[in-house]
Amino acid sequence: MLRRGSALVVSAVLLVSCSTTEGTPQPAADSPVQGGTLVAAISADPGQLNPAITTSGDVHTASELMYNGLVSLTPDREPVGELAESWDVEDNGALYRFHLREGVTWHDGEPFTSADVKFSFEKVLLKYHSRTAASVGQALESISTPDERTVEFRFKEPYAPFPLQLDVTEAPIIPEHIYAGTDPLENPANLEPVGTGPFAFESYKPGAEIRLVRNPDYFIDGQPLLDEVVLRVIPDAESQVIALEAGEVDWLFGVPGADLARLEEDGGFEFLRTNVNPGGSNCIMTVSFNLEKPVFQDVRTRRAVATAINSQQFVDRVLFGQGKVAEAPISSGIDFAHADDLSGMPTYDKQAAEDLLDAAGWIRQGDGTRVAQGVQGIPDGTPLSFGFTLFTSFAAYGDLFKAQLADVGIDVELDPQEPDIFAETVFVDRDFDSNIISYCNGADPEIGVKRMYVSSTIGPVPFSNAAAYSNPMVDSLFDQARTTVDPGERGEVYRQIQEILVEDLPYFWVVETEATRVYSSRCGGFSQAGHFAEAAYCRQ
Amino acid sequence: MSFSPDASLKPSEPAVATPGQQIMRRLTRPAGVIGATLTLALICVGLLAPFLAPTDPRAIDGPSLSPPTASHPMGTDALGRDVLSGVIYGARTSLITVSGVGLLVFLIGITVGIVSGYRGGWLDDVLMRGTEALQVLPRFFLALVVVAYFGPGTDRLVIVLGLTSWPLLARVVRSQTLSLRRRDFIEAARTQGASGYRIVVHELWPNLLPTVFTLMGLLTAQVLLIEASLGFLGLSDPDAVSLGYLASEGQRFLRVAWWLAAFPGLAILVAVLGLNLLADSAGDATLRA
Repeated sequence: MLRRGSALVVSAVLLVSCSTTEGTPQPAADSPVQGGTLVAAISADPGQLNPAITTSGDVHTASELMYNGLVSLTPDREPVGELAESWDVEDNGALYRFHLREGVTWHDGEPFTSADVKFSFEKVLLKYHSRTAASVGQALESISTPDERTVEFRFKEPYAPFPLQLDVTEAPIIPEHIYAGTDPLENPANLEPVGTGPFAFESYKPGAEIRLVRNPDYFIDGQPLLDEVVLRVIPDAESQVIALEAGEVDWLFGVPGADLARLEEDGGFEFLRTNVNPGGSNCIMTVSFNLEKPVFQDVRTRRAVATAINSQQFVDRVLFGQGKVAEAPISSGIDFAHADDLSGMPTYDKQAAEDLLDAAGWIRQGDGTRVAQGVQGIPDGTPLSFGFTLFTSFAAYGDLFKAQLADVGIDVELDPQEPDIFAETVFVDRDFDSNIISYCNGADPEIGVKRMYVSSTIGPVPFSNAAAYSNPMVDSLFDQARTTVDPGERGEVYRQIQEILVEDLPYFWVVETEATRVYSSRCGGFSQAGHFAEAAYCRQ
Repeated sequence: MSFSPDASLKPSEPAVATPGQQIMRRLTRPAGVIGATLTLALICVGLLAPFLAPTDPRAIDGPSLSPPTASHPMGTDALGRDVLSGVIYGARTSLITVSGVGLLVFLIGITVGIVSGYRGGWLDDVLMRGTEALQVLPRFFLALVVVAYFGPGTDRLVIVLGLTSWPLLARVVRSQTLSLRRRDFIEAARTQGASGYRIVVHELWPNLLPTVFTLMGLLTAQVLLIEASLGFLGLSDPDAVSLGYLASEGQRFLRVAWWLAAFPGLAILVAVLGLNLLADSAGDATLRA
């Protein structure tokens, strides 16, 4: 199979843009202007600005505008050339040959060559970028550079998802002439980056702001339009909204649901809904059942919990509409793999949940609680109660989960923890009954789905297989999916996987989350991904 | 504030009321009445929470973010839970914490203070050095550390606050005891052959009562604020409803749903105000009678 990548680069594409003042056209939205400054609020200080050595969302948000990937992804998650002009796929998907763009220079004037790509992968990405290292790193055999404009990736077996893992989020390219021979984690350029991206570094005041200036030599004609982008650190979401309303900032990466409705009514703002975030895309809030615990041995109990969850209520009352009910284990954002018509997928049905609990041997008492009567591995008379571990920031999920399960006689004990302690408790100590995690699927199931289900990922790696689910059939199907190149056939394999998953229910997939970017209506031309301001403009 | 037991302690003269009577007299003045009423209300609401609350405070009971209505007098939160029920159960959690801490403080503070002041000598030195060591510990941060280390929970909060809040009480009780033990009526009791126990319980204790009462009121008000602050920082027991936690949840919706932060905040204010007024009027009793 030979495929030519399109050389078209995404220009400002608004995925779903809804104007607040319907009927009144926003003059700013259709007349791009040159010049001006955009001030964007970011939630945390990134600490450093090299996106190749981390998957931290804070670092990627603050740094991606300064870098490029070989490709970028369209709003439909299709790869189109960025640093690569085009590419050939040979050997049934085991060899990728990229033809690099002519005349690209680093911000310091040095030319960009294939050696930079080889260096970025071999010395940095495959060592320090956890997602790329875990997926591409395991499948890759070698990288070669036949000439300055060509780079070849050879895989041990056909590897279909590769082009989706080459954007600035998954594989930013960094300069060899700056990083060669140094420790990439300690290089001073991490604080004064040199990239190829639409904006170049100007200054970084830790905890306060990062200033970027227009790259006049950017390889896309007419871009960027803005003279300057300022990323201002404002940790509190409520303060971000106030700063936006006061006109101190022009762009928020996200806004709490309750404020969103108010901003929509107030007018003067534009909105961009997206399931893409610098830290990951296509995220599903997922309940994990610890299959090592006796209480979750019986699939009927797991199914009862899943059936007692009213996902729509999570969409309405926790997300305030910024998301939708998950209909399958794989996100609807991965079109070819998403199977939304599986009959085994639990949907809210209180009576069915009660019946399942009765059948599993959890019998209702006079006071409404349930106790065990003949449940395997649990002494009779034990009350039905289990822990629910969660990030402190997900408290609303915990409260609603507890309330919904109390309705069918299940007692839930909430155990909120900070993220790093959570990772330790759940993945290292495995000291939990159930939990909720935002599992980001990424652009391809190989990136963010597989880690949740294959038995090789049970263990101490954070945000891998939390349920400790192990099914040889599922393992071999994931192997098959990885080496299947035809999207239709791959989709069929993923469908089979999901059919098994909704029967086994090691997890329950509650809601797919979205973020809503909000920006001042005097600005426009934004896109959803890392290069959000590449083609943006602001009228002064 | 300074304590001048001399003025209040003339138990032999019938014209002057006993310390207990002085407290009662003070409590019938406006500030005292308000303080006593508010505190009594807090205790009643806490004790009778299951009967007073319209619903389970965790149940999804109404629409999301409904303003105060007849069916939800304090409105509902984002998840549709009744705020009034939350406030009532939050008061219960506060009451449990405050009573637990109060009991520990009372027992330890009084014992250490009286033993130290009445016995004196090396025992006094040992106890007072220990008290000083505890007194310099920042209580709020100690509570934070305990919650961070052992996870949030009302039981450990009561223990850590109870074990660290008594030094002030112990020191004041000790100084009172030191000055009282040389007074004529104590000496008189001693020469009549009264046992140490009898002197402490029948002669010393009634005269310590106003001071203890005042300090306990102030201390419990502080504890209530610490409990609320921890809740506000999201460090309260996640399975119990806390006024501070409710207020912090409300803060996220401050501009769309004022009732979420206002009512729990008001409840904290009322409870702390009640305890302070009560303590204050009892303090007046010791100062002016």
